[in-house]
Amino acid sequence: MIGEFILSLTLDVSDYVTNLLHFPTEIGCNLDKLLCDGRMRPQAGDILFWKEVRAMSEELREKETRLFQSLKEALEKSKSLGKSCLA
Amino acid sequence: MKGTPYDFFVQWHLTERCNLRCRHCYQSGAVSEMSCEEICRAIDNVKSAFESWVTEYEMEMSPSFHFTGGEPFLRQDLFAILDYVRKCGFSTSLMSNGTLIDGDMARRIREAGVSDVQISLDGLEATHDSLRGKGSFQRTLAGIRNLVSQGVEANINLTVSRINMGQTGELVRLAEELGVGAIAFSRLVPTGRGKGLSSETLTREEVAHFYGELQGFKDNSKVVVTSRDPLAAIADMEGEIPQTEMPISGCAAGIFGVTITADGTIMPCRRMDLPVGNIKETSFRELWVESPVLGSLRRREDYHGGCESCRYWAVCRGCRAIALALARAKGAEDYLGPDPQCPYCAST
Repeated sequence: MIGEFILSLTLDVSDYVTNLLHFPTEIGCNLDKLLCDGRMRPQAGDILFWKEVRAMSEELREKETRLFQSLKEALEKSKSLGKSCLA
Repeated sequence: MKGTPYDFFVQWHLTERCNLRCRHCYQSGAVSEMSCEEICRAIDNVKSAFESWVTEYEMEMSPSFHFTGGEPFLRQDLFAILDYVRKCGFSTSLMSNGTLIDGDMARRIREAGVSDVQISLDGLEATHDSLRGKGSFQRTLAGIRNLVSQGVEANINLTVSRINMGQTGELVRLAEELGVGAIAFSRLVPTGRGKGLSSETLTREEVAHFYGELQGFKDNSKVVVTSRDPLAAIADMEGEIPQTEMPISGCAAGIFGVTITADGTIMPCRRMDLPVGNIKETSFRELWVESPVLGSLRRREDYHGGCESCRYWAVCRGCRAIALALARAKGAEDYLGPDPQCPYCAST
């Protein structure tokens, strides 16, 4: 019980410090402003990172193609079911 | 029109901190939290995968982000995260215990464009308070009323066990009085702290009885009465069940959704404590294809114990989290075995 309390307190303090470092003005901060201020990496840069730096191998791409082909076929067949099936 | 939409959701546990200590919670301990910046980069990572699926495979997607905790309102940067996701063009919803939603918070939720807030309510006052702590029932109801008065869609979710399965009628009436959009029922998964309530989980006969009873409420209530449990959905299906290579619906784990925990760990479902990677270190697009665990959840031949030969496999597969939790209780690390509470499975 005491251990849990101390852990919870540690997380609270850690969260406070994290927020303080990233968002000095706190709650509801405007991310656009942070991006402009250079305090945050631009979104476009991140997408570029994931798309280009980590280019997929041919083997993985083939596996992905098969996965989405099967998925599309399955989704197409789901049309024959009652609507609630997809709920 | 490219085809049937691929409804994909990311359930994101922004924090493990919570102001309640519920007896049936799937949490088992605290973990470190990602910062707001790390979360936004991770959202970009997921967004990049979605964009690739749409452009390269012509998938028609309707992705959504469901933010929860712990208690999500304990994160002071919650609205900054919601704002970022909204600007990325995705739908957002929240899952909360409702106790921290005062009038001002409800207004901010409405202004943030959140599509709906799912509030956990686990029974009538005495039952709810015995599971979630004294006084929590009234605070949760106040939170729901604040949301409804601000015009935010509020839905109730109830974790069903032997403790509360006899209260359905009164809870549906309460949901009607509160003016929520829907009341949904999910089975208790005995994992995390919830292991302590293992003896309160339903038998397959009780599951059959409960969902049969629920069917009656669906037809005679002013509020939507529903369940995301695949076993409940089977009763509603019409026509022939297609026999497909890939699942069509049912348990979403590894097919229609994924869970990200506060420290970035990716799991097929929060109730399946089965890490498959970390969003801070992995390309989500690659992980979605490459993960052996996610791959096996999509392959009929990998299932066993009855599920693999069931005519409902493509639309059900039971609850994989319950299958895993009950297998673990017997010392087996098996998430592809039978759902022991399934009334449709003859072989277990």
